[in-house]
Amino acid sequence: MRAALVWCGLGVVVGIAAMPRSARAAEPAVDVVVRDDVPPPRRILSIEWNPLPLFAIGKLSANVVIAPIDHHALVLSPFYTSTKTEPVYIFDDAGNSTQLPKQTFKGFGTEIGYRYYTGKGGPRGLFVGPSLIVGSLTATAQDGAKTHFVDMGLAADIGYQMLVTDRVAVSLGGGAEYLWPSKTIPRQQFPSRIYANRGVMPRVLASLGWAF
Amino acid sequence: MKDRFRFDAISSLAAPVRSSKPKQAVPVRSSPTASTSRQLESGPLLVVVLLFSCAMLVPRGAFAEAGVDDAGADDSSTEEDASDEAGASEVPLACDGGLCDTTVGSTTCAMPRGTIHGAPSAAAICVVLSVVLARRLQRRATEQGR
Repeated sequence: MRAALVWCGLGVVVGIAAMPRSARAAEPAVDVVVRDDVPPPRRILSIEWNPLPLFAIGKLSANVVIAPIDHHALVLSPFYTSTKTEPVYIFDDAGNSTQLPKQTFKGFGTEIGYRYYTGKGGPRGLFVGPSLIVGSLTATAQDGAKTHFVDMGLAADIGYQMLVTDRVAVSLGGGAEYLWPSKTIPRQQFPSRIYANRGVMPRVLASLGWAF
Repeated sequence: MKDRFRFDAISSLAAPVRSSKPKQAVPVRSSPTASTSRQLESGPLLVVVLLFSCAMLVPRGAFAEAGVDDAGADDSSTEEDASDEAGASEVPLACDGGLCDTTVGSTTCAMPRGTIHGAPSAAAICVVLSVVLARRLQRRATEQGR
């Protein structure tokens, strides 16, 4: 009985194998996918303006993004900053008031950073990378006394950049930076404290530019 | 005749009482119109609370800004006012050379301080209430769509 079953099974297998291909059960259709491997045009250099810092913290800055090879880019961001403290009044428990001094912080600096982009052909796609910040600033007290100091810092950013019509560079992102001044300066109001006092600050990236 | 009239009057009073019981019970349990009406009742309340909590931000911010604007608009006049108000005793500032601390110390109170500490709590209330209100409105719209 068992031998009969074995022979029967063997016969079925041989029979199926011997059947013409067309006679077999319909096989699932194969989807043919034509992959578009044409890379986007390469954009090695893009120059961008950062509008947010200008209106938020009085910092005029631009980005020069150099992407000589796919996925890797060098970012130079020179900046000029000018902030001042607001002469608001403070009161103690006895009601005595004092007007805070108006102090200004002005200076130049630059950021040098690296970014890894997920896209090809220039600064495209999701990006992430660190930056080194260097700045030379001068603080002016209300009595006119000037204090020169140097800011050093580190930053890390993450964001997304796209090249609209392969030319217009638009990016959005955020990150954090840690800055420390070369001299100890009393605590300052925001945004002056970004440059005057040591600490970690969040930052928002938004840029608009042109890719070459 | 009088008795019959009385009976009719009593039964007419009793009838709506009897028939109203199930009508009251049913919508509370399952009718969507009841939940909608409850949302309509609580919706305006939430809106009022939301607007009120958002309005909490305005006076503090305006007060602080007013202080800044006054100080910035006419320095000479405000400096005179400050000296008049302060007199001989002023709040000591932590200074290092010519530069001074321009933040608000722990022993003093200042106009902007309320804004700095009060704004996040009011903003948090706004956010939470906005989410609750949005969800309620969305649920109501969904039920009305059915």
